[in-house]
Amino acid sequence: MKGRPVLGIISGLLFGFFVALLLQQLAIAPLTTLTLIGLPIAGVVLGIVLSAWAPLGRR
Amino acid sequence: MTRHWKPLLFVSAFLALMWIPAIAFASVTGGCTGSVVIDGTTYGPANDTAANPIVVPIDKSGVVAAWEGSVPFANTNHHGSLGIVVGPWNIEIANWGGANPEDTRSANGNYNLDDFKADFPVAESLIPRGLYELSGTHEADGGSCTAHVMVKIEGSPLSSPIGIATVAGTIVTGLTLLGSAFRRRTS
Repeated sequence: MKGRPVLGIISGLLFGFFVALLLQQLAIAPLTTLTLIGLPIAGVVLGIVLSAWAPLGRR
Repeated sequence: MTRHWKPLLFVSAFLALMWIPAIAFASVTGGCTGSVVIDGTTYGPANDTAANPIVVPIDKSGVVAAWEGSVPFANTNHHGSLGIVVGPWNIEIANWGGANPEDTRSANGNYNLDDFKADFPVAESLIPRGLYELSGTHEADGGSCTAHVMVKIEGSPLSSPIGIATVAGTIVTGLTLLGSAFRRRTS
């Protein structure tokens, strides 16, 4: 891991949760299992991928 | 550089696949029918998708919902419930039941949305706007029905504190997620 995996997992989980809430508030998708559970899981995956890849910052 | 796109492609495909089941729902099973007229628009079982929801103009006052419903089977000893779908849970918001010895198979009435706002446990401005999936069941001696509809409580998400907190939370956690993509300094 070149980036910050713990930060990536926690922020990815919360980001997915907030995106699910935002989609509900914007009347795009209701809070189904797919959004309320699936998006935080996708956020965790994204956090792991981003922290493993770590494309930003000094090389 | 190309190898970096593989994980992103995987995540994008996963997100895209997640939306496919959300496009369509089987709205009513068991042969029951019903409709509601809100603010001059008639809604029915077809209003079961995010793109075609039942619209509730929460900011307007004096709006009356004229509803009617019927079942195609013997309706004695009936009971049912209606709930809001929140993730894997169904939070019950209403229920009904009775012996119904006359076997009444249809009903109608008017519901004033001002009563809904007055009965809501928080002030009108705090009622969360957005899209909700409602799920209901009705069972009787002669059969049973299930139904799913989408209800949109009209209004800007920024008009309620929950909406403002949601937008702020999305921005803050999104930026923090981006922060995890920075390389750690190695000494």
